[in-house]
Amino acid sequence: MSDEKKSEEKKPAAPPAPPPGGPGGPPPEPAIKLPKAPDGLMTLRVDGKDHFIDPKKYRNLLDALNDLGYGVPHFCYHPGLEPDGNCRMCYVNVIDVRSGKPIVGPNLATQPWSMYPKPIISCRTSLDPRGMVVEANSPPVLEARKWVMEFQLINHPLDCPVCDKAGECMLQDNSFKHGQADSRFHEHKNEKAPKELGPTIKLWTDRCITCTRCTRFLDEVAGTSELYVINRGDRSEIDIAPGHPLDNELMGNVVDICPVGCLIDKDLMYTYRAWYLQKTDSVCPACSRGCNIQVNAQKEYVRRLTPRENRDVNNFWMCERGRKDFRYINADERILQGRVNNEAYPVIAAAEEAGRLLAAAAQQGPHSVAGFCSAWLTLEELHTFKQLFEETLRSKQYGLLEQAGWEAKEFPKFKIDADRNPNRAGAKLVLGAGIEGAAAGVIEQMAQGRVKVAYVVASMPHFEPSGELLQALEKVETVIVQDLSRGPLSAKAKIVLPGASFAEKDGVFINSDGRMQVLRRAVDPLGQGNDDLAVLQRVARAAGSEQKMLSGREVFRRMAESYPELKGLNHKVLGRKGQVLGAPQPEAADGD
Amino acid sequence: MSAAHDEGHGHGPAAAELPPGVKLAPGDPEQTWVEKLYLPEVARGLNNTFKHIFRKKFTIDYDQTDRDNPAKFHRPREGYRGEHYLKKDEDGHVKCVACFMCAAACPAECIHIEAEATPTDWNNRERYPRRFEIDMLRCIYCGMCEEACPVDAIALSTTYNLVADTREAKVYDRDKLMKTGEDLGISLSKHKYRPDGVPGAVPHKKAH
Amino acid sequence: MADYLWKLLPILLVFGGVLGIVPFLVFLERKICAYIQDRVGPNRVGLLGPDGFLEAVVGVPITKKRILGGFFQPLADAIKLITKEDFIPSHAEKFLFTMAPFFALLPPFLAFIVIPVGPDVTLFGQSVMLQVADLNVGVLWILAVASLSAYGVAMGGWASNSKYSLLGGIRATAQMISYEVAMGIVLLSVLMHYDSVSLRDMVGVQSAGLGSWGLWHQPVAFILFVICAFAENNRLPFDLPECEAELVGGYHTEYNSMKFGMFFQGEYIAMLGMGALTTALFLGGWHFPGYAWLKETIGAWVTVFALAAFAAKVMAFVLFQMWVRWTLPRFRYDQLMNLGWKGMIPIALLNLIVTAWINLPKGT
Repeated sequence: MSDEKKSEEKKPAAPPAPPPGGPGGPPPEPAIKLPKAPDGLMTLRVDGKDHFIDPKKYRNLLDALNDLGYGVPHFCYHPGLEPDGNCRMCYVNVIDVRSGKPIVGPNLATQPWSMYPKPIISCRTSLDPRGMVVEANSPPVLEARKWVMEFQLINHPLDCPVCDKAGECMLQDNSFKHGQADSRFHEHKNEKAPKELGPTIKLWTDRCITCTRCTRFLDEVAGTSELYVINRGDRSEIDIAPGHPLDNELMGNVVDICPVGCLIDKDLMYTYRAWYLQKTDSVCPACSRGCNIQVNAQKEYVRRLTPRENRDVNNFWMCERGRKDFRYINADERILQGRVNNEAYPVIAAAEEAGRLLAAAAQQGPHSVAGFCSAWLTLEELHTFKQLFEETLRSKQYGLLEQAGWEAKEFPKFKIDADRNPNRAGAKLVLGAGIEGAAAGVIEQMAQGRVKVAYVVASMPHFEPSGELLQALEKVETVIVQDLSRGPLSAKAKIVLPGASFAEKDGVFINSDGRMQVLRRAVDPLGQGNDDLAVLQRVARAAGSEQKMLSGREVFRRMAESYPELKGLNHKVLGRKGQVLGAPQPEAADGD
Repeated sequence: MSAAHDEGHGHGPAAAELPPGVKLAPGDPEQTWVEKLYLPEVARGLNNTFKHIFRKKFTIDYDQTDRDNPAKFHRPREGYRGEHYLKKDEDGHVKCVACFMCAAACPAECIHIEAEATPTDWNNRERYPRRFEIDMLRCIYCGMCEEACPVDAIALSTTYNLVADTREAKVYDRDKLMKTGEDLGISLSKHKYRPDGVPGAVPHKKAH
Repeated sequence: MADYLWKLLPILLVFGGVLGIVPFLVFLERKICAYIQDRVGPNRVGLLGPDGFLEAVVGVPITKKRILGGFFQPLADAIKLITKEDFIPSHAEKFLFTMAPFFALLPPFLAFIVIPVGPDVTLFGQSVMLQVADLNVGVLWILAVASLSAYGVAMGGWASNSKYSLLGGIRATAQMISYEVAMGIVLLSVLMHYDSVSLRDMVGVQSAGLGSWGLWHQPVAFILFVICAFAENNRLPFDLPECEAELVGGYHTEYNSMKFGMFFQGEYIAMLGMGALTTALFLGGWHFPGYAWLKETIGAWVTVFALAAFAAKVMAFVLFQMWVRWTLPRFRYDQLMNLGWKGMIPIALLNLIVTAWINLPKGT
């Protein structure tokens, strides 16, 4: 990064200049006549093509160009951070409308509108509402980018084969598109040893291109500012202050935003190669915030979780708690098949057995069956659970299992909720607002020995059932437990059914803001292909329900007919970003 | 067939239009009735094949009963693509850096790798394959893995005797693949981890 | 009763001989093919030594060198074919699919009934005719039975319910019918020459030395008959029903295990049958030059030589068929039909007229 360029940029844009025709004369005819844009819009001519865009919608020229599909390369610019402009990769040419030429030097007499002496970085260029002419892919621009690319690679070790970023690396992509095949650099590269920045983040110093995305993230979003740049020129590197390691709840994001493979999370290091990962949009279940994420899976294995953009919820980020909380999906303790009396059963057979027992007990009266569901179930599953109890078993004796909360945390631009039940709002919507207190009553009934069969649908990782619940379950003749992993709950059970993690489900969570967001199935359900919804439906059918086996999508469509809050909605309308409960739905009309 | 005849039917270039020195290729020549009988030609063919019966045979008897006899123990030429093997570095560790390039290049998807950070006493690189398996039954012996390897860690030997009694025996793990190279005495990779200017796995001085 | 027992002798002789020799014809064919193509051919499965049969039984090779390497390959093949899973494709017509191999195997056997393999012998005071049955319609029997084998092929092709098989079956039927016409006309002229329909009588006519063999009296008929024999047996250059290059395997594409083995066997038995018929019609049957002299010298033991002469002639013809197979390319279908209808039949008719003209005085 040169100081010279920075100083040019900071020059005042257009000092008042005398028009060439002398004061009072008619303004000179501009060489380029741009078509007039409709009200509120501006004309942006890129590579000879005119676009009418809303200048207020975009933060800068780079955003606008990339939104229009011109694919301007960049490293240091990130839409979630303030633009910095140090990588110089996003060069474009801006042409003076008055003279019709790219501006090669400041000539205040003829170029009063703007004066950019050479290609400029589009990330720090704001849109001119009077109209702009831009060359995004002209030969001089491409030439300039090629030079930048060559400089970026001078000290880069090119160890892509062993680098975890390979395959999703911006340096690779941009080098492929804009760089050249051979290096002209014959001298020795700077070799800098890798550094441990904190408990999980490791820095491969020599891969760094000093884009400062990480330092800016920690300054702006996390507000912790552990990282900064030390030294100057080609010796500059990212470092921590002694005794202040990079250790905060958002540190994983610096790995995501690092455009190269410089910052690597040691927990996930070497566990995946980017080109094998199938990315599925989903919602983080770790807290009731409902951050939008992508599940990165390789075949049936979930390899990592990455955040995706949703400016209404999590912006571009996610916290460390949610990011690392996926190991239970492929853990050894997962329940993968049914068990009846400690004997392995096919899931379907075990579910049917459970349904028969429930139905038989329900014959003896509504108090002889009891149920528990959890707020880790999707709306569809909760609805099926409710249908099973209220319509098939004709009992209202069910409660909600709750995950104990954790410490809430607030960052300048990010928030972690204390509530660890991702679908608490959904449970309240489906099962009624009184459901939160209902569990105590059911436990009481069980403890008195009135309940013959109890059906516990937990499907919660890390769930520690309370002592009262476990004691009460002792008094129940037949306990049916549907859970993710073996634990104290399943140990009490006569019939064990496999649950499904969030990555195996199609369904809807409602977060603490009342936003309905869709989870999509990233890996096939590990319980012999049955997710919670399928198991619940099988139990219900064996208990006497006439309902057909339905997909999550279809269940939601039917729910939309019976719940006024969900009217007109379906998974497709909710889309990638979700919708707030009860909000006016302009999209609903044209969504389907 | 005359040129006029051709013109009359309007297909094929007439002889008059042809540039000088160019002749039409002859079609099937008219066969005489002797030729139409086929029998003389059949006799000639039979004569030809009969002579071949007494010629020297091209078959190499790669009967592996006698290793010392080059006529009996066939060694394929250099470049023959047989069984894979994994090479070693100077320290005797597996050369592979678990970059998955071979697995990515493999058209049969028969290579399965699990990467891991190297043990602390390996000081020339950070990553190595904890698990490296080739399903030889899926493999098509195309040699793309060898082409793709940036550190010359995997190669195809000239071992062509590829039979086994069980399917499981044909899934070769890392140790088996390394042993193949050791047995053949071609195990040491010539590649250095720090070749100047050549893109590849450049090592770091380890932090720990 | 004793008559019937004695009847068993020629039956055992003919059928035992045929069945015993077929596997080794396969071996022979593979060897000839390999030698013509400058290869070695099967040379592994022998009796002793590595890869030998006894190694399989004992567990270790008995000798270091292979003995009879490759000679027991047919035996290994047979064991493989018999022990293979007998698989019928789900889309096949099961009954006909199962019956077709029998129809392919049986007719070539039946043709052997009327072929005299040696002179009458007197054993223990009983005169035995070395021919299973001396039918007075001998040649017609052969024509009739040979036509039946088209059913096996057509049935196999249709019952497989596969396009390759069906095409192969149709081709086989068309080809056999076409060439049977020519063959019938050729045989007519042969019958005129011998003035009999019984093969026994024909062989008797050829007993008067080398010059009396049908080959010299009916040269055109001989050549035409040999060509028709190739077409009847679906051998190259007329193997369009199988035609690996276009039809995968033709009518037996869907067959495996011993069902395929029966088709395969049928083909080789048919080769032997055609060889035997050609021998009886044109090559003097079991006669050989010096037969009369030898008979005077060693008496009844001449029968052994006669049988050997007959076998040698048949084998020579079979070897010739194999030799031709590995020499000539396959005809195209239209070429095959052209040759059959526009070449063979006119020439055969011409030959018939000439033979009739020559033999006119005989009949009157």
